[in-house]
Amino acid sequence: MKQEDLSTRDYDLSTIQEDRRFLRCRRETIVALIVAILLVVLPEAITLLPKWGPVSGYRYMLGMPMWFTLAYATVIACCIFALLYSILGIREDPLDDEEDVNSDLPNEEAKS
Amino acid sequence: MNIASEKQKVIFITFLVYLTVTLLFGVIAKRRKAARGSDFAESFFTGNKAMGGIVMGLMIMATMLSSGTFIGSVGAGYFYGFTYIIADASAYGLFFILLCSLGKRLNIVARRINGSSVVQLIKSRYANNNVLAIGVAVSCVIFLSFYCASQLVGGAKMFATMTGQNYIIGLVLFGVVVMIYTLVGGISSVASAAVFQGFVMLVAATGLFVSMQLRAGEMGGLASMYQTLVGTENENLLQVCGTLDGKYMISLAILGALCGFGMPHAIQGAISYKDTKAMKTAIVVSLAVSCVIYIMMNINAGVMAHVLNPDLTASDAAMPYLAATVMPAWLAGILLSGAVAAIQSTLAGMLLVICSTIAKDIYRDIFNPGVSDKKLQKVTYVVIVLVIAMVIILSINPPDLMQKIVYLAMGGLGATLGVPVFFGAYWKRANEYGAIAAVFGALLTYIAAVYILPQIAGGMEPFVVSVVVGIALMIVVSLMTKPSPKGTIQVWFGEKYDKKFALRTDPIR
Repeated sequence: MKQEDLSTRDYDLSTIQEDRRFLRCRRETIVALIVAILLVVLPEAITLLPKWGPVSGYRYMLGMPMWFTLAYATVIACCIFALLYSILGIREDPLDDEEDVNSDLPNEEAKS
Repeated sequence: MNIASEKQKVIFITFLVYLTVTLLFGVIAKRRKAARGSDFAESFFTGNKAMGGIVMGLMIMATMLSSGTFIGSVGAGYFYGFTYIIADASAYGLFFILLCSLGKRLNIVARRINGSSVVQLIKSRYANNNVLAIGVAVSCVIFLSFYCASQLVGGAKMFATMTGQNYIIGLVLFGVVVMIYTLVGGISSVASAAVFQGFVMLVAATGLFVSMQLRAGEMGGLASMYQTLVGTENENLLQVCGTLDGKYMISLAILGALCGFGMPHAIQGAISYKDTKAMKTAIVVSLAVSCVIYIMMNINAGVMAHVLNPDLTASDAAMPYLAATVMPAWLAGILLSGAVAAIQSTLAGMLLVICSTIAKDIYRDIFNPGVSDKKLQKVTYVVIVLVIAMVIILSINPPDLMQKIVYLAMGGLGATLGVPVFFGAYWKRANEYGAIAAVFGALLTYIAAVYILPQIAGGMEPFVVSVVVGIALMIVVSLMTKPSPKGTIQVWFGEKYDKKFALRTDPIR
């Protein structure tokens, strides 16, 4: 396909067949964003929502104020989940494109 | 209040041993690079994309852990207490969030376009628009320079407190060491030293954590120690939102979780790994080790430092005094080395990005495309020296709490670069007009929120309002204008693409 045709901005985006690796990256990104949301929401929810009372009445867990220990535990839980997902969930896709005699041509010409 | 001079001598000697070993890594890396021989830019800035997972993981971790981890967070914990520590904790997942979402994605495209920097990636995605490239490059250089200055400030403060030496000597000493091993070996030198530095950081953090627990044991346990603050003016350090309100706390957590999308030094590391297996190892290593270090450094250090040394005039001195109080001198020397290791590795990583941006992305790619490898090498070396000199000058009069400079830099980078990078990777409809609007809109909003009209931040970190503006502008302007060129979307999203188009660097109208 000519370079001018590749420079065109009048085309249908949906005709571009997406690389399978990028589709998997999209799914992995959703997981990453869920972890990001949990890392913000969970500790702050435990800290801000319950009425923990005056400092003089605080209970302590593992030597630290209970609200802090519980909130911090959620952070550690999220990190453990992230670690497990990294080991078991992220797929080992090849980073180089596969060798293909049609790889210089856009998708629609490669099909024909 | 001073640390005993005998203790300071031992600390200083231990530190000098560490510096010597670090310099040796630069020399060894240079000899190995010379034996391999390769294109200067590829080798210097990305190591020819040949780094294994453990090295890459330790390097990313070493560049991400910084003076903020060892000095700034402890100082902020000393000043703000447990509420701050929780708000800051969202950053523990930063490596995972960045690499899991963008690592593979950007690495694949970087190979297609033969790119080795964030600016090149952004240019490729957005029709090789030079206005956008210059805007992104300027943002990178400005905010990374702030970040570099915060590293030097933190390190020099710690060095001066622990060794009794002059602050300026500390500034110059390890600023010059970083410059030498960066000049000598480029990213290979940074990587070689990072493995050693990562190990030193781990030993340092472990030593501090164990020492703190032993000291707490002598005082009847952690709870007894913290309860000495109850009924005093400092009991708000234990209290929920005692020193930070809920809104600001949430905004700080958002900054910590999301700013990684705009960290050019982390992204540049991510496009340097050799395969996905290496990337997974990098995520696992960097996540596990950095979490362990964050937990050991941050969970108790700041508030404990307040109990043991309540009268410090500068919060950033909390960590040095804590270390000198609870640790034997030789171990405190290793902690100083660990902190300096974190600082130097982060500084070196950022220095490489600044130099890559100026020498390659602006000078070579926009103004002098035909420049020879030899001349580019000279330009790079000159830029490294000039940037270090500028950062040292910027650091001569340090601010009160260095963690504020770290957040300033992180927020600026995240707001200006994060939106075009993330949307470019995952939204086909994003185009250069939306990206230009997002970058400049976010930058202006950020500057206004920090310096001119703080009220527009609404009592939150300025990063939040800037990102919202950036995202809104990206979406609205992109939808109001035509999509990116077809060839660009094929390169960035397609199964098939045109290789000649992928390698284009001229603007596509």
